[in-house]
Amino acid sequence: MSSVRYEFPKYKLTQQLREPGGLAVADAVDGAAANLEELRPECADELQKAVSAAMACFQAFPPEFDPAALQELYAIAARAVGIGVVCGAPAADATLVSLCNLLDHLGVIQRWDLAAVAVHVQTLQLLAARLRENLEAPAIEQVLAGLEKVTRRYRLEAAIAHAASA
Amino acid sequence: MALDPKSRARFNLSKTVVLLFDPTPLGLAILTQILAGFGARKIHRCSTIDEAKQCVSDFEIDLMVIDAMAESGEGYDFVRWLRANVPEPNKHTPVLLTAAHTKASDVANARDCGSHFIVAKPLAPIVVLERIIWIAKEGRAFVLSDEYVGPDRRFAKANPEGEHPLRRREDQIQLQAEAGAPGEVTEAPAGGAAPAGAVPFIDRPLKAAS
Repeated sequence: MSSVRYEFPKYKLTQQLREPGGLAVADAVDGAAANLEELRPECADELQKAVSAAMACFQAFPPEFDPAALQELYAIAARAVGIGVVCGAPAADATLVSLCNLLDHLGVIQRWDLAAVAVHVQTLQLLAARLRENLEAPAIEQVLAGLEKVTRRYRLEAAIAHAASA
Repeated sequence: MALDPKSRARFNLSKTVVLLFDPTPLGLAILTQILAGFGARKIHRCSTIDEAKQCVSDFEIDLMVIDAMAESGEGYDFVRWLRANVPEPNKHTPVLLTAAHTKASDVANARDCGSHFIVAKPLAPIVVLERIIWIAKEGRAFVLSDEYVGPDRRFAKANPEGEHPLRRREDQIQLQAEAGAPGEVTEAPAGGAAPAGAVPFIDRPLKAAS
C-alpha cells in the first residue's frame, strides 16, 4: 500500500519578492527586453548556423525511415527554438516548433515524409536568408498556416499510435 | 488574471539565488539576460546536468529555471532527482521548466517530474516573470508519495495558463478546429503579451511605486 504525505514548505522566494526596493514590473520587462537586444546579432548568427545544420542533416536523410536521422534533425530544431524571437524572426521559432511536432509524429508512426520535412527546412532557410528584410506579415502567416496543415496531417494518427503503445 | 507589462507594482529578486540550466550557450545567455533584467544578481549558470547537480549540492537555491532538454528529456530527470534525492531546502525549491518542445512520449514525464510549472519556448519576459511570481505563491502543498514528489498538481487557485492562453499557433488551430472553424488562423499575442489592465499578482497586492 502506498502512502501520501503533504508538506507546506515556506519558500524564501515568496518573502524575497515582497522585500522593499526591487523593480517595477514595467521596468523589469523593459530591462529584460533591452538585455535581449544585446544578443540579437549573436542570435542571428546562431539561427543561420542552425538552418545550415538542418539543411545538411536533411540532405543526408536516407530514402527509408531512419529514426537516428530523424532524431538528429529533431535535436537541431529543438535546440534552436527561442533564438528567432530574439533576432526579430519569431516565424522561425514557429517553423522550428512545427518541424519538431512533425518529426515527433513521424517518429511515433514510423513513417517517412521527405516532402513534409523539406517544406519546413526550406521555409527556415527562407526566413533566415531574409532576416534583415521585412517580409510582409500576411505572407508569413500563410506560410506558417501551410506548415501547420502539413504537420496536422499526422497529429491524430500519431496520437492514436502513441495511446496504443502506452 | 494576467500580469500587466506596464504595471508599476514592484517585486524584488535582488537577493534571490537563481540556478539557470540550459545546454546551449545562447539559451543560457537568453535566460541570464531575462533574469538579470528582472534584477536577479545571484545567478548560477549551468550548461550541463552535472554542473547543475553540483550547484544544488553546494548552494542553497531559491529559484531554478531548468531547460527540459527536448531531445533527451534530461531536464525532467534532473527535477525528479532533485525532488527524490536532495535534502531540504533545495528539495522544495520552486522549479520553472522551459521546453522547446515536448514529445508525445514525454508528456507524462513532464507532468510527473515535480516541477512547479512548464513554460514553452520561445520565452517572453513578461510570461517568465508572471510564472515566477505565480510559483512563489504560498499555500500549494508539496506531495510526497511513492510515485510522485513535487508540488500538488491539482491547482486550487487561479491557473496562469488561462492568462496567456494559446501562445502557440497549433493550439489556436486546434481550438478553432474544435469550434468548427478550420482554416482560420489567428496569431497569438506576440510572445504571449498580456492584455492591458493592471491586477494584483500575488496573494496580496504588491506595493505600488510611489
